Amino acid sequence: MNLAEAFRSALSGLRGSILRSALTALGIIIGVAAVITLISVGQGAGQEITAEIDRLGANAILIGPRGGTQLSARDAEEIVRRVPTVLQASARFDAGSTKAKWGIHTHDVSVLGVGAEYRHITGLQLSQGRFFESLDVERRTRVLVIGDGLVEDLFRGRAPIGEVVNINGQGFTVIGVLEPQDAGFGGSGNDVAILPLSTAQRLYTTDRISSIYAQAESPQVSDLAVTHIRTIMDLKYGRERSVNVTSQEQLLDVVRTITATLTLMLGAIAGISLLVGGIGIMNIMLVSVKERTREIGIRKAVGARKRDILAQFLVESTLLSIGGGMVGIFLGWFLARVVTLFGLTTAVTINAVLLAFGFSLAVGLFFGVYPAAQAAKLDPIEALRYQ
Amino acid sequence: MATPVLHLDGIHKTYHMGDVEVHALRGVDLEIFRGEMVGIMGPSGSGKSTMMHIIGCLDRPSEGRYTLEGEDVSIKDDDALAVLRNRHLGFVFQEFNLLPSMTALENVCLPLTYRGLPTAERTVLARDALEQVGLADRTGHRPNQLSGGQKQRVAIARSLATRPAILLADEPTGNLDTQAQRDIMEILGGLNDAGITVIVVTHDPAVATHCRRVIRLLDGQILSDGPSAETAGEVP
Repeated sequence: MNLAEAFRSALSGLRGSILRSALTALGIIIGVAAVITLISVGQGAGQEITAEIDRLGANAILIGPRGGTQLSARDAEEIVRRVPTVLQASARFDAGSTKAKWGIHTHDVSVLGVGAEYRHITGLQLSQGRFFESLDVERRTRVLVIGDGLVEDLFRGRAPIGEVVNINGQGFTVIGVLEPQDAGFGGSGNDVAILPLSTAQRLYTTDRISSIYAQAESPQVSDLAVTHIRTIMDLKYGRERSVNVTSQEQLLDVVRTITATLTLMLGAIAGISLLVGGIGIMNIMLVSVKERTREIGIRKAVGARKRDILAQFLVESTLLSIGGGMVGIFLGWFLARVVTLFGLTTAVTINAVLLAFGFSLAVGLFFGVYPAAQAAKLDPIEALRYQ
Repeated sequence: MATPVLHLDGIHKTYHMGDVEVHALRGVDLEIFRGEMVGIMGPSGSGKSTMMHIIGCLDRPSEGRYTLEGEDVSIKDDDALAVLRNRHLGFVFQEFNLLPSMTALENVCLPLTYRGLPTAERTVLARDALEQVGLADRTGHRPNQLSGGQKQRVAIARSLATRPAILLADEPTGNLDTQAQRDIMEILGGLNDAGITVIVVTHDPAVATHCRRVIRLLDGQILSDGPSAETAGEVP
C-alpha cells in the first residue's frame, strides 16, 4: 500500500468522526494561531522601534553626559573639528515643558534648543517656512520652528508663519512648521517648539546643554567615530567614560537583540499551547485506535502489514495537525490584523508562518507515532475478537 | 490429487494464561487438497478456532510444521504472514466484519489495495467478485443498507476478489436466517465447484452436510476425518 492509499484510508477515518476531528484540530489551530499572532506582535514591536531609531537620522551618534559631566556647545564644535569621520554635530538643549501662547490660546510644548545642523542630522522635514540657519544661532535670533501639533490649537486656521508666539513671557517669530510625525522617543513629537540653541539658552539663562547629536560620514565609520569621540571626551573630562556615546547602529543592535528575545519568549509561550494541542492529538488517536480495533483486525486479516496500519494512522494524525496548522495560520494572520486595531504594530513574517507550519507537522508526526505503533502491533486475532 | 494445498504436521498449540498452560491443539496431522470442501466440526474448546487461526496464518503453531502452497508458514514473521493471507487466503467470518464506513465495492477492494494493485484493476476485480455472489446491483451500498445475507455475500466477494487458493469460513451462517443460510452454503458450494478449496468451521450439522469431507475435533485432537455421509448423523 502506497502513501496515496494511506492518505485515502486516513481521510475516510477522519470523515468517520468529523466533529471529533475538528475539535482535535482546534487544539492545533489555537496553538498555531497563538504562535503566529504573538510572534507578529514581537516582530511588529521591533519594526516600530527600528523605525523610531531610523528617525534619529542616518548614521546618527548620540552623546550624552554621564555621572554629572556638564557638556557644552563647544564640545560639539570640538568633535566636528577633531574627529574626521564626523560630518557635522549639533548640541541640543532640552528645556522642558512649558506653555506657548498666542493671543488667548495656549498649548503645552517641549522647548528644544538646537544648532542649525540638527535639522540635517535628524532629517527633519518642514511643511511650511524654513529652519533657522547658523547665523540665527550666532545672533540669538528670536525665531522658532513649531511642531505640527501647535498649528491647529494656537492659530485656529490662520497661517502661522510670521506670527509671534509667547514663551515664558518672551515673543518669538514662527519661521517654520515641521511635518506631522508619529509620536516618538527623544521628545521630538508634534508638540515641540524648536529654538536656536543660543536663543533657548538665553531664555532659560543657562549655558548648559543636554546632549550632542553627531553624524558619521557613513555606516562603516560609525563605530570608529564613536570610539574617537569617546576618547576625546574622556581626555577632556578626565574620568573614564564620562559620556555615553551611542551610534544609531548600536541602538539598532540593542533593539534587534531585545526584539529577538521578546519574539522567542512570546513564541515559546505560544509553542506550549501547540504542544498541548499535540497531546490532544495523541489522546484522540489513542481513543481512535481503541475504537477501531476491529477495523484494524479486519485490515490485518485481509493482508495489511504493520507498516500499512502505521502509515494509515500516522497520516491521519499528520493530516489533523497540518489541517489545523493551515487554518491556524489564517486565524493567526487574522488575529494579528485585529491586534493592530488596538494600536500595536504587528508583522506576520514568512519565517513565522513556515516555523508554525513546520512545528505543527512535527507535532502531528511526533504525537502520532505512539498511537500508530499501538495500532500496528495489534494481534489480528485479538483485534477481530474485540467488541 | 498430487501435493496438498495445505499440510499440518504434528501441530501443537499451547497458550499460557497466567500460570496455567492451555493445550489447544495436541498433535494435529492434516492434509487438504486443492478443490476439496472440508467441514471442521467440534464442540467449543475442541480447538477448532485455534486450528482455523493457524490454517489462516493469523497465528503460529507452538510446535510442528505447517506448509501452505509449498511454503513453510511456521517460520514466517508477522508481515510475511500478512502477505501470505493476502495472497492465498480469503476469510469469511460469522460477524461479516465489513467496514461500516465503506461501500460494498470499497470493502471488496480492501484486500486488493493491500496487494498493491492500481485502482482501475481493483475495481474490475471487485465488480467481478460481487457479480459472482449476485450483488452486481449493490456495489454502492454501505453495510447498514444491506441484509445479513447480503452482507455475508459481500464478505464472500471480498475473500474471492484476490483469487485465493483457500476460502476459510468461520461459522459463515451463524448470524443468518434459514433462507440466507441456504443461499450462502449454495454460493460456497458453487465456488468449490469452480475449483476453490473451501474450509468451513461450524458446529451446525446442517452446514456440514454441504461438505464432502468432515473433520471432527475433540480436546485438540482429530477425532474423525471422512466423508460427510458417514458422520452427518452424529451430533458432537
